[in-house]
This record gives sequence, C-alpha cells and structure tokens, in this order.
Amino acid sequence: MSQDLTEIVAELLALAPEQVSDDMGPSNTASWDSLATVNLIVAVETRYAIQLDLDELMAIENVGALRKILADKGIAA
Amino acid sequence: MTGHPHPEEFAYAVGRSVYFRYLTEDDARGDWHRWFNAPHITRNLAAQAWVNTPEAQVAYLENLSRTKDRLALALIDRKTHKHIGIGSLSKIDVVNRRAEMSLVIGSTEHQDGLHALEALAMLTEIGLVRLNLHKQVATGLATSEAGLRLTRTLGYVESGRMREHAFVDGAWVDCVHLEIFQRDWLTSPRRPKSIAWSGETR
Repeated sequence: MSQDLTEIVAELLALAPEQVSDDMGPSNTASWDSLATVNLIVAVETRYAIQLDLDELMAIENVGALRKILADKGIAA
Repeated sequence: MTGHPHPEEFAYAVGRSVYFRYLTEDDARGDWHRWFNAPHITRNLAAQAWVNTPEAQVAYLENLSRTKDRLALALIDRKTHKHIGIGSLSKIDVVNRRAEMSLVIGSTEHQDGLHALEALAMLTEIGLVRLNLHKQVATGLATSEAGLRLTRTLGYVESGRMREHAFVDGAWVDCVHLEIFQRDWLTSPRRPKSIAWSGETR
C-alpha cells in the first residue's frame, strides 16, 4: 500500500499511518465526520491536481474506494 | 418501494444515495420538529433561543402549501427510506431568478458529508436547472465549517460576510454568503449525472 494517501488520511483523522486501512470509512470510523470527508476531498484534489466528479465523490465509502478511483485515473496512491 | 406510505416513485428528485419527496404531517410530528430542538443542529442555525413544537411544524407545513416562493422537501435515505433531513429553496424570486438554498441533515448517522454533498448538489440542480434560476445563494455561520466547505466544493464562492451576525454559545459569529451562477453550474463536474425527476424511472 502506498504511503501517500494513507498519510493524508492519517493526518486528517489524527491517526498514525499504521492505523489506517483500506476498509476505513465514515460508517466505521468515529473521527470520520462530514468535515473530515470534505477535507479529504480537498486534500486529495490538491495533492494530485485533479477534480473528481460528483459520482466519484459519492463513491468514497472508504479509503480503498478512493484508492481505486485514483488508480482508475492512473494515480498510484 | 411496495407498501411504503410515500414511495420513491413519487419522489420529487432521486439521486444515488438519497431522494427528495414532499413533506407530510407525519414528518412534522416526527423527527422533523425534533431536529429543530436539537443543540447539535440549532447551534449551526443560530436558532437556540426558542423551542419548536409539532404544532408549529405542522403550521409551517400548511404555510408551505400556500406559497410559491419556498420549496421545502424531505430528504430520504434510499437504502432505508428513513427521513434524514430537510432541503429547501426559499425566497424564490422568479423575476430576478434567484433563491436561497438550505439543508439540514438531522440524522446523526447520516452526517458523513457524502449524504449532504449529494443533497446540496441535487438542490443546486433543482434551483439552477429544473427551476431555471440565474443564481443560487447559500448562507451559513462561519463556525459551520463542514457545511460551508461542502458547499464550496460544489463551486459556490463567497460573495460577502455579515460580521458578528449571530450569538452562538456565548460568542458573536459571522455569517458567510456563498453563491453560484447557473452558467458555472451547467459546466461543473459536480453536477449530478444520475438524478431522476418525478415521473421518470431510475
């Protein structure tokens, strides 16, 4: 697993990188609230210089889903 | 959904994870009126001074049916058909073609940002496409950071600020105005691609 996205998520959720897993999402992570979601969107779009469309944003159910969205764009995150 | 009292096929607008439908008296007497007594919600609305009652909510609902300058809708989770919030366009001005958007997600389990993001995108689509408005406005307390950021994510930009406009938790708080024009929304990647309007099959 690349450290890049993991480190972004860890920083936003105030966790250690080793505590971040691909199945983590707002439904199973107490500190992942609406502010964390929007901050993650902004951080990822800034880091990778992309703009995700609404369907892609709505598919961010967990870290793994976001990693796949980025992979589909040719970004190894 | 067969057997459901307010089936999705009669929804005003259906998105990916949520849909909007008409509000009912059951809604008014249920969670809807309770949300406007809940501190985690009223704090973001600067509406902590008064209490809300089922009767007041029913009266509001009755007023809705007599006006064309406000469109208020129940926000429903598509998986559970649970009423999770309220979305509205108010001060709808058909001459100057503008309106003010607001959204309350009352269900705490749905306050994950994604439900709000889709609902805000759908309200923007309703105003700027279905109602053919020129501009849509959203206002929020500066302390309502998530709501403001989610709205900005859709392309709304800050156009003004009313300083020390609300008194919340013992402190004066600014109120931020955000707005978006129809011409910018029509080319935005944030537009919902898969919205279905009432009468359409999804």
